[in-house]
Amino acid sequence: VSEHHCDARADEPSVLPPEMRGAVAAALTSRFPIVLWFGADDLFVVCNDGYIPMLGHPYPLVVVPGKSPVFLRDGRRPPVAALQEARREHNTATRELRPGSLVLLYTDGLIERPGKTLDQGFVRLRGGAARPDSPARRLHRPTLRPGHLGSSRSFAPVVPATATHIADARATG
Amino acid sequence: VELLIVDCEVRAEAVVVRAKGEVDSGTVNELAAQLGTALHQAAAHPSRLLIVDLQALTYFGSAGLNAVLDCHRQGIDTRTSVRLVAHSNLVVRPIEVTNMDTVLELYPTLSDALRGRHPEKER
Repeated sequence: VSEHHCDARADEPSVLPPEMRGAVAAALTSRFPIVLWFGADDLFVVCNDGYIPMLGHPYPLVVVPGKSPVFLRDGRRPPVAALQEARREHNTATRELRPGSLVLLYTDGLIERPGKTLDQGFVRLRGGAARPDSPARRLHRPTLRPGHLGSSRSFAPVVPATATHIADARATG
Repeated sequence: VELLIVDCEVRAEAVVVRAKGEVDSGTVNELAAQLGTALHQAAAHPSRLLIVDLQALTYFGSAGLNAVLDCHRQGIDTRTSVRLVAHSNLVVRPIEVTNMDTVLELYPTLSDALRGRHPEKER
């Protein structure tokens, strides 16, 4: 997290952009899966039906109580910033989320390690998320704060949010 | 100890940049600068071809992807082909997972990149 200039500490919700506050509040109090995806101008919040523009992040991980976590590998497309240059069409995909499901969206830097492949990172993350004491299971009530604001090195002008437990996840995942 | 070493070679067939080490937010400026210089050389080269050999990288994340995407776009603007070389999963998988393999030109070897041919597509 530190290399992305995020200190991974909890901030007051007031630091969130105003248009995010209502959506975040709804997500944190909902009994149903809600996918939030933050973009520069767009914010989609739909119960059990989240449209996820591809921003170049690794596969989202779905954690369902009592089941092995699974990655959402289908429906991928290039990052929105590079879509125009893609040489082929990309399909979309849908996945029904059961109540109680957790969709773990994470930015780059969580699973990558020098000398290790992304696939090794995926295995480590899935194994960590499956543990009952996993920090990922505490992400149902994260405190969010703007992360990449001001960064010029991003695929898209994203205003992502950083969960407070990412530092824990990296340390133990 | 240098985390990233980048060198550039002007060959008869193309301009070739080789990167060795880790490309992250702390080292990417070195790669971007070298790619910019090499792209200028390639634009003046008879082949109008820049090959970026990433095979010796031990870390390649979003910062590196941004750098090669910028280079790719600048190559389009200057009508210079930019081809990447890598067969290690340390480099290939970040490109595949982000679906950037549908944008960037990726070859498993330098000779394949020089020829502009994918061996698996010729079988």
